[in-house]
Amino acid sequence: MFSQRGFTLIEVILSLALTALLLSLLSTGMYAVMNDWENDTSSLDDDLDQTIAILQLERALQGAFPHSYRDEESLGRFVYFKGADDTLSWVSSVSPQRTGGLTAWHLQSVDDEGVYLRLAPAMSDSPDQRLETVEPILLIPNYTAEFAYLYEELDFSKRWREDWLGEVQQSLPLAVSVTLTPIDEDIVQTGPLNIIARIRANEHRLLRPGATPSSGTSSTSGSVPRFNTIQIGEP
Amino acid sequence: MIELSSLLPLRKSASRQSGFTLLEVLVALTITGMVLGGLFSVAAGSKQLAYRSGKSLPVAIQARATFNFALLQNEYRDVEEIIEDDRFRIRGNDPLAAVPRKTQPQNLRLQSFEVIDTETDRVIEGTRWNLLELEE
Repeated sequence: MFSQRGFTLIEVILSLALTALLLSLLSTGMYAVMNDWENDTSSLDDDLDQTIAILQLERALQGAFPHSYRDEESLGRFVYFKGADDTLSWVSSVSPQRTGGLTAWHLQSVDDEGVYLRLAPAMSDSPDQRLETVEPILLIPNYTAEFAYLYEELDFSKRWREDWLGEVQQSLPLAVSVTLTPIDEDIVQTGPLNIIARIRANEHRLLRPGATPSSGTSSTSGSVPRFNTIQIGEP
Repeated sequence: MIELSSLLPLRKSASRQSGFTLLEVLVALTITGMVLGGLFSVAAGSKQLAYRSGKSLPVAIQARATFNFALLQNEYRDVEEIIEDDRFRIRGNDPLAAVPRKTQPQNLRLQSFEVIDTETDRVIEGTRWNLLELEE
């Protein structure tokens, strides 16, 4: 009746096939780009988090405080600072939650996982037990930490040692070094990272444990003299 | 059937049918291409930026550690080296000139130092105290 002419079957199939091909190409391209994008931004986020964590650690180490506690059994007073080459517990005047008072920090390097952090408020007793009950946070994943502690040799030269027990030394080390080594070079494409933190409070000589036996609390900071007024110039 | 076909607007002749001209198609394609290209170049730019800043973070951490070590090294003499990464070098310069009028002898002296990035030759400058053997 009518001389109307539509598309032939072959034309329709061809155009459909072409459209499908174009769409699939486009979507795979988009998918790849989006995936890559996602990877990149998330790795940047991780890197930023890790950098902030490292800076926060450095600050907390610099703010280490010669917190002393009374041992229940021996009734002696000891400085709380327990450093080994893969764990470190100390009390710092820096607290990440902006809460007042002293905070006990505990770092533990676990092979194949990363560096775990525990935080607990530091009261007048040893914070060990409270630290144990805290759920650890994976602070720096994919790195193992190695701690070293600076001390003064008899000839006045300064050497690093692998452990520092506050109970024995009754003081804080001059500085703490943390070397973060990537566990898997494929995941983390950087060399080892270092943290060097000078502990200023180690010169609080007047805060020797036992020197103030009457004060049962750790809040002796008011009577502690600033050890010196030297400002280290920073650019 | 008759009702259905009467609803459809039908052309009288097929020869009148006109599509897009080649020019129109080309212009449309060019515009689409430019817009898409612009979008992708923006995405690629920020991707590159993200990559570069991610790469520079560990370097900044290392520079900071080296700087801290440089400060440590001079507050105390003879500090044992601990940073194995040798990208950043510490170089101590000549001590700064003494203050003309000193009220009392002291065993500290100011010294400027540089932390040099050996890969980009950039320099971070700072001052630190030197501990002297004797007061002067």
